[in-house]
Amino acid sequence: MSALSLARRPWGLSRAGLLWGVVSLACVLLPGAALWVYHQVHPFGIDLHHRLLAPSWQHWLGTDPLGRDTLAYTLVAAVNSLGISVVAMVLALCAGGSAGLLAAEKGRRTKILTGGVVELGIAFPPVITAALLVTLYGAGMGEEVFALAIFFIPGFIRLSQQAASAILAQDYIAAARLSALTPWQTHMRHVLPNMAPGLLVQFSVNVALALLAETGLSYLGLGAPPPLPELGRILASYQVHLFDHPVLVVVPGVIVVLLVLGINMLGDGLRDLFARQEKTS
Amino acid sequence: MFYKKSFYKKRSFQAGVVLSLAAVLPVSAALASAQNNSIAVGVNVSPPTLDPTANPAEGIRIVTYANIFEGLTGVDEHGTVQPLLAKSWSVSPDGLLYHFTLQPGVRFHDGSALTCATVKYTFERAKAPESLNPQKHIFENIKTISCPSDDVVDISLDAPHGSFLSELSWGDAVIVSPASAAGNGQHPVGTGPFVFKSWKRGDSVTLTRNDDYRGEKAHLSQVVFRFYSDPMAAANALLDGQLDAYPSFPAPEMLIRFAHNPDFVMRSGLAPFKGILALNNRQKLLAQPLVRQALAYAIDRRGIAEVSDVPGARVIGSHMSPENPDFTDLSGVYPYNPEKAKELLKQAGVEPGTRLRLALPPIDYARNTGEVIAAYLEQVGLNVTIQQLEWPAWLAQVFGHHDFDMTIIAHTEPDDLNIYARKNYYFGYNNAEFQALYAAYEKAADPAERHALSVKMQEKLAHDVPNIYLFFTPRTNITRAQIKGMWNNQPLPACPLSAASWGP
Amino acid sequence: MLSSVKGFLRFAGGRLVLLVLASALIFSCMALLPGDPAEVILGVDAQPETLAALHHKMGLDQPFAVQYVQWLGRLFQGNFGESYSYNVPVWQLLSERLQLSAPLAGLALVLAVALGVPLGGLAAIKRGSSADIVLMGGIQLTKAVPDFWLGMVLTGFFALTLHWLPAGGFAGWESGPWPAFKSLLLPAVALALPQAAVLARYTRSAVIAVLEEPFVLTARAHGLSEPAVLLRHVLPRSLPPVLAVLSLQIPLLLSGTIIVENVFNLKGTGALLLDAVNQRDVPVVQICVLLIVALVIFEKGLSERVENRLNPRAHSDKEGQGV
Repeated sequence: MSALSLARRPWGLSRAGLLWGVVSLACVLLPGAALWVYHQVHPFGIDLHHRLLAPSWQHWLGTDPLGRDTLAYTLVAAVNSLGISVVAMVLALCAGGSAGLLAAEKGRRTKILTGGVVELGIAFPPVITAALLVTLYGAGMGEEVFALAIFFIPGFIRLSQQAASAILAQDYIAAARLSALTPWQTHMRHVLPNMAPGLLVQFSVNVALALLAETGLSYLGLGAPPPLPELGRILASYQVHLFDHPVLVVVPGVIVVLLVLGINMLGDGLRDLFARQEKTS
Repeated sequence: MFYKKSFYKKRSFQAGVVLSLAAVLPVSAALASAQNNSIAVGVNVSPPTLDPTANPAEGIRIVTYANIFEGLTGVDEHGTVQPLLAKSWSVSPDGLLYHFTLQPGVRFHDGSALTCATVKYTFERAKAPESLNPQKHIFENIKTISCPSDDVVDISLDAPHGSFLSELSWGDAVIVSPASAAGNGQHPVGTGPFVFKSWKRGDSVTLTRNDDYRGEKAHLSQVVFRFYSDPMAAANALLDGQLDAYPSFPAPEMLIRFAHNPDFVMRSGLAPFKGILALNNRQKLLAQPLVRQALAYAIDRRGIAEVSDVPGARVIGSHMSPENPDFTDLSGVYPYNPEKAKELLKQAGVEPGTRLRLALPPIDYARNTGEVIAAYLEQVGLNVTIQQLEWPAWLAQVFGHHDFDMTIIAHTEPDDLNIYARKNYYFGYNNAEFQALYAAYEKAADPAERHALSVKMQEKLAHDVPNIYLFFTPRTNITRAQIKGMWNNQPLPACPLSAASWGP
Repeated sequence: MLSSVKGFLRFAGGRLVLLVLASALIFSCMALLPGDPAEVILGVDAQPETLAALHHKMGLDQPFAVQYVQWLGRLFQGNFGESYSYNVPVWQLLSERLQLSAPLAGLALVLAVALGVPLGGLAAIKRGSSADIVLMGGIQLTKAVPDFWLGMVLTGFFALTLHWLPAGGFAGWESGPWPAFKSLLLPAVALALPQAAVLARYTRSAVIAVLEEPFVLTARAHGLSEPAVLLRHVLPRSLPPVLAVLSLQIPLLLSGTIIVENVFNLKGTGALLLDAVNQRDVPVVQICVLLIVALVIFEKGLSERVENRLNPRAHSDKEGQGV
């Protein structure tokens, strides 16, 4: 599989990358998760008398235009944005993966059909899909998840179809079919486990892409409505303070970078890990 | 295509823009424009067409009003009606007959002459069944138009209408020529001091001086209106020399970048801006005055006005903004008092946790204040769900189907107390007492009596709070320091530039 | 020869069916959306008669299926229709906007290739060295930056602090090629950098794969200089996978401009499309989406063919949308 063939790095470097990925994710997600839980119970209030405060011991990065702690608010937003992206990608993985498997298994017609869906899906501009969904159902978390998932389904279909076709052509599958195994059992025992590493790597790559897309959508106002903090929306509302309070623009941006970087490095590390296992086994 | 055609003609001016783009210092940019005697003006809303008689969009009026098109009457910066294409008029004592005398020698940009027949054509076209005129009611009250001579117009009305002369000054009532009326949407032809030159849809409109203008000619040889949908981009364009003036600057948070900058001058101007939290008075909960009063107490409106960052933003207590001569300050009727709000809600039998929807149109002030208002209402125990709608959905849902609880919107029309007398209007205020007051106001001719009635109506609204009156924000005009002669106030959507010039 | 013509016809025919399907999909989406284009045009004070008059003028008083069939019929006659909000032919609007969008996408593509391919190749040749590690780190970092945020930061620095480049807006070609180019440079960089990073990454692995093949050793053994080996043997062999990735990036450059256009106040096709959705300007949405879909699927089909031509052995083995 090409995803695995990309692994041409010395293992030491991969391990360093993996470590880096974990560390940079942990930097954001550990405090983020703690704050997220805390603020589920104590929602962010608005305090107009303490807006745009300078950094202090109480507010490490100061407060935002509505008087919320900038750091806490941004971290919670990061958790929300990542959560939305992960849920969307799980959806896309399940839908795309099973559709691809089905297409690999079934005849030519299904293949043409899924091929058409894939082409259309890739060609359809994601912002437009999101805009259509949002106007149809109103802006909301569910719509955002759905729009992101739709955009990534074709990629998963294609990957899983290619992987499954390759595996289905192997001799041991034919053997398994000749034995008493039902097609369902064949898939569960032989096909899926062999596809999993490739899909997982693709999943991690896509979570990073989805996070970037998510910030873009919510930046344009196509994300979930307030009061749910989201990285893109805070960037959109803070950007006017680029010159008087640059922290407000820099911090959310850096957090996006840390998250995407972390996920990508984690994904690359995982891919190398699988490649090594494949080689050794 | 359209802009390919004008490629060569455009050269001379664009050289100025080239210089200003390349300029390192904003000052030299200004000089480059000054030598060229042209000006680039930033506008927040891009016009869909350029015909104000067929489309209500604000962008059309900003570009064309008093620049390309003129009406029988005009207004000055203070909203006072002034002669324009009609040099004088008289009104019969019963208020039914208007007798206008036209300016002599007025010609349209295509050379055709203005006569009484042109006026008759314009108003009859606006009144016709297939007309798309946004203010058709102005013309539907016209009984007959007769032309005793080429420069005299007699208009008789079905019913007396005190605001007829001021309505004739609106963009919807500008005079168009039969020869060009059909094409005004794409290539406007009027009588004004500037001639339409080119339009890059969504991006900019360019006008040039009308050298054949009848009266004092415009000082500037060229005007470019550029459109910005993003406040940040607007501020950047002004800072880096692409723009010379921004009459309604959209990014108050960025004002400090201009406030201490000697290259720019910042002025505050008046405009009929009433930011309100509109309530659906048909909704069972919000139909109760107690609940509406509770909402008024629950919101720290002074705090919100401060958050807007606009210098001069202030709380209003009724549906009237301070620039109006009839304005009465009623902002203290329901001061911020969350305890009182909770008490009133309890009295009205509203359970804590009751859900209210807040529909927000895609406008910055609505999106920004929406979050704050939701937070205040949650403090007094209500549960607010924010719905971000885009424009067509907002129009359909809120305006068309009245399917909303609360929404944030600014009413920017002058003298629009009449909307509270229309029980089918979107917020559905249906109050016999107010309707009687308004009927009396419409009939009254005596200015003192009209003023007294207007104050009474404002008081009625302030106490009854059919909507929560939030704030008035003045418009902020930013121009390069040398520019003179632009309007500070905006009594109606317009940006007349005939008197504008580059000073020394 | 004949078979290739036949193949092409089949390829084109399949795509055409796909396009008609896509158009039906968009048409139904737009019909399902709440909000009425006439209402949007006439605004809040519209009177019912005026609204009805406009409905009739726009043909909205007819059943939906009839509207679609009529639209499709006109389309096959080459009539793209007229914009609801601007009242001008859609084609005119599009050609105005393409004067900005096409050069922007082109510039971004050129920048992405000019940066990504040489850097990726360099990293491959120096693989394992500290230069490689720094490059790979830089690539990872660039890939992680949201393009609109990059746009904001670039504007703040290059335009508003250093005053080297305009902060947004498009100067227009009539103001001369240089100012027009300058006003497209920052947005093109914001668009191109993340794509260049992706491209560099794939180039690196493609070149490494070729470098490890036996024939490279043979070529070196024959005494060819290193640059000659790279240029004559390695480069042509590593192109197909790079092209494959590039063909997946082009749609992103075409449709992904919407957000960057917003940041830089550029009125390109992206802004046109988004505004059209928000104003229910159905004819414009239809044609824009259809054109993007058409461009993308034909471009993909063609690039697959070019790839096969370049490297008949390679099977279409690509990584989904892993870009």
